[in-house]
Amino acid sequence: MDQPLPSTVDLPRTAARYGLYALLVTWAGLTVAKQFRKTPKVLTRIDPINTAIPVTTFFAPNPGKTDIHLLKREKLADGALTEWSEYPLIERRSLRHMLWHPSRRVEKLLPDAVSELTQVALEEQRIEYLQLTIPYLSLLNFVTNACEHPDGTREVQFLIVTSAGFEENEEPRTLFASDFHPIA
Amino acid sequence: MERPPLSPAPFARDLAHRLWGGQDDIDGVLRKLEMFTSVGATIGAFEQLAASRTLSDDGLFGWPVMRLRSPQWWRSIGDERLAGIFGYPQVMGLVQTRALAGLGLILPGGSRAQRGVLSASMCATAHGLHTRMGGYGLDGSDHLSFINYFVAAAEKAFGNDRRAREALVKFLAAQVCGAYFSAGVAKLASPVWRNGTAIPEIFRTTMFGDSGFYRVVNEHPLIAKAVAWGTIAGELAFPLVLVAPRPVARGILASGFAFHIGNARFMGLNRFIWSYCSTYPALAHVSRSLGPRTESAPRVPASAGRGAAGLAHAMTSKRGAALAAAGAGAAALAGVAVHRVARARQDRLMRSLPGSLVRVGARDVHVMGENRGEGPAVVFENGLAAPATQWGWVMRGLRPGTPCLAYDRPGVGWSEAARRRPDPDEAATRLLGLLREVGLKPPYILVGHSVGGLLIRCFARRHPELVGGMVFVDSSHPEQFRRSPKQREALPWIRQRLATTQAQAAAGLLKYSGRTDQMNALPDDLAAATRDCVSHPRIWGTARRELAESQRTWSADASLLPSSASKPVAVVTAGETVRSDPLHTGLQQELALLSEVSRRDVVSDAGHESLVLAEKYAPRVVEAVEWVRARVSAAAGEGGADAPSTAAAGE
Repeated sequence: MDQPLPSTVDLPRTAARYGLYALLVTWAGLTVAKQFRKTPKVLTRIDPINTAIPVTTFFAPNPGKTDIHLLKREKLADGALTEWSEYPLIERRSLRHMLWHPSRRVEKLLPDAVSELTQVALEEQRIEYLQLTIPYLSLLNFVTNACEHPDGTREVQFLIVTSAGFEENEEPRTLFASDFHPIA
Repeated sequence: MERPPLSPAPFARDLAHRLWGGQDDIDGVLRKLEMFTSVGATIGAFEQLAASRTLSDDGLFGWPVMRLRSPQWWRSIGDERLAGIFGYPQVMGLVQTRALAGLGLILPGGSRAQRGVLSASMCATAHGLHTRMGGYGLDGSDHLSFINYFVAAAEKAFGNDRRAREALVKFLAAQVCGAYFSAGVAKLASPVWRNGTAIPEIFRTTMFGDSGFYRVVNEHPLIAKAVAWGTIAGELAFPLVLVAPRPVARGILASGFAFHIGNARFMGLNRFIWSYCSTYPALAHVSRSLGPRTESAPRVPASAGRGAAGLAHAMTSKRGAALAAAGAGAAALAGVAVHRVARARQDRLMRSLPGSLVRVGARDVHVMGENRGEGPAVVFENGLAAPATQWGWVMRGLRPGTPCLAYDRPGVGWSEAARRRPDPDEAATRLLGLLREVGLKPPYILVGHSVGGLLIRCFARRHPELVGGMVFVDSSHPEQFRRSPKQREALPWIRQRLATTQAQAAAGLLKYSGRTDQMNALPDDLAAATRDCVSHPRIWGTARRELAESQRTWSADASLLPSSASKPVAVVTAGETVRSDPLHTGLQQELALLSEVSRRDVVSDAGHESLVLAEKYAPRVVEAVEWVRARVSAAAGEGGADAPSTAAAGE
């Protein structure tokens, strides 16, 4: 049955609805703008971590085709260097990952951080500047405090290496080596 | 005997209603959205609880570092208070809240108000955790979940306003269709997706790949291409779910579901199934064929849908004929307008001619330089999409009285285009004809930038008696695309960039893109003309053909040039190119081995283009040219070859 027409316009409700329309249209417009390579700076100010205005070009135009590995080595009290050792962060694919994949966020952090680091490195060659970036500090914090070190370690250095994953004929490539940093 | 109507068993119907039944159709859609999104979000929260060490102060998401990225307005509440929420282990409280709220939304029986509060909590905790993680480690499922929960919470706030609730469901449908469509467009624009190589490249990684799937797509490029094109077509076609007939719309949703199951199995993208497929009821609600309006929607008149016959009938009617005539007239007018614009653009370009035109073989060739003077003449060969003006600073840096010539190849700069393919024979014949026409006397010092380095080798191979020496300016190497993986991988992107730049130039948009700004580095009297020249679509079309020709014939031909014992060779390399591809250094060293009399110089801060264009780097090129010229002059003066010598300059 048809509802009776309201005799008067409900102003607060109408205003709220039009406010909602404006919000949704703006949001949709900003989402479209976010998909382009050069995005307006205002988008970063509105949503600095892309929670609400995501980039949805997934694996395109240029998909990542390498695994990223985090290696570290130590400088001992006598000045000797240990061998490079990898801290494994990526799990090999299994059926379980269809439902349960707790390592995914850390796996994803590595390319996110390294992509930001290499982007900064392309534009800024002062190592002191690079050493104060969030990705550098994050990786340094991890290798310094979370990784185990042999007795007598005075300093630690980390290395970012890329590999072709299951393609074993391609040599790994070094992407970035940090300075040595003292262990506190 | 009457048969009972076909319907689900009462128990199953009751269970379904208890699980996701709503007060009305929109509430039912939102209930399903909340429930299925929450399955993924709750799994995500439990995953974070299981990997809680990553959020500890020592972990990769450690608060001592990540707090530096928190927004200013967060920091204003004070470090101590902020650490009380986001420090470790307090932050696990947020994750636990998220897990509980997610479970609350999965379980049946909640009121609309309770569901609204729980959805809002999911939004708030998502924002908090995403910021706490510095934006790292997130994926598309996290972002869409946030939007899903926003829609679910806002819908409760507008509980009595049907139009606002409908708008929220449409917004969600637009976001999801937009996400699939933009993913499809980005893949369609990518050469590695179009040729299928993206598939084995993604699946070879341990992180997003699978060894078995990789083996199949690596060994069968056709399967890889089919997977790539299937993904592109599926993503591009996804928005049709809103307008397609019922079986097609259902097929699209079923394909989307299968796609996410495949991604979960082979790529480990487990949470995408829940965040994306939970929106499908909302898409069905908005869809013309699956939504609630289907029954009441007015039917399309039968006479309107007769395909070609209907179209032919419409065309023969008076109104149809008038429309067709108007359309043809508009197309003709548009054609004339395009032609006039192209003509005006060409006229404008010719008015800015910086050098002069020389008639060679029934074609006008644009030349710059000086044909009078003493000693060996310097002949410049440009890179791709670069006119003769690129040598502005270099030519001005040469010693006064040096005979020199820079010219535009056919279809480049201000030179007339040619019909014949510019293979090495043709290119060398044209250059020889031009040198004779302008009266430039040998011996020539050939200076080649980028692919110009290949062309000077092709010329030198055919006319060794005319060539005194060569200078390679960040030159291409005949085998660079075979030997350098980095350059090989870049090749399809270079082709793509040339094509898109040509399209931008044709639309008159290139001058606004900032891509022509690098020409501002040239001398003032050449900068504006060069900017105009590279804003013209023709130069980019020629560059595409020349790049293809360089792959087809120039490189192979250039590699046949034998090394010389006495003809001096100088190599100037841009430091930026070396940094972006370490193998470039070795390839440049090989260029210097073309002669026993050679010199190498790496200009550390210079880029591939700025090495020639910028005033501060051009002197290094001039230095190399003068070094070669001095040796050629000395050899000519002595009437014999130089003693073998090798030099290294610069950094």
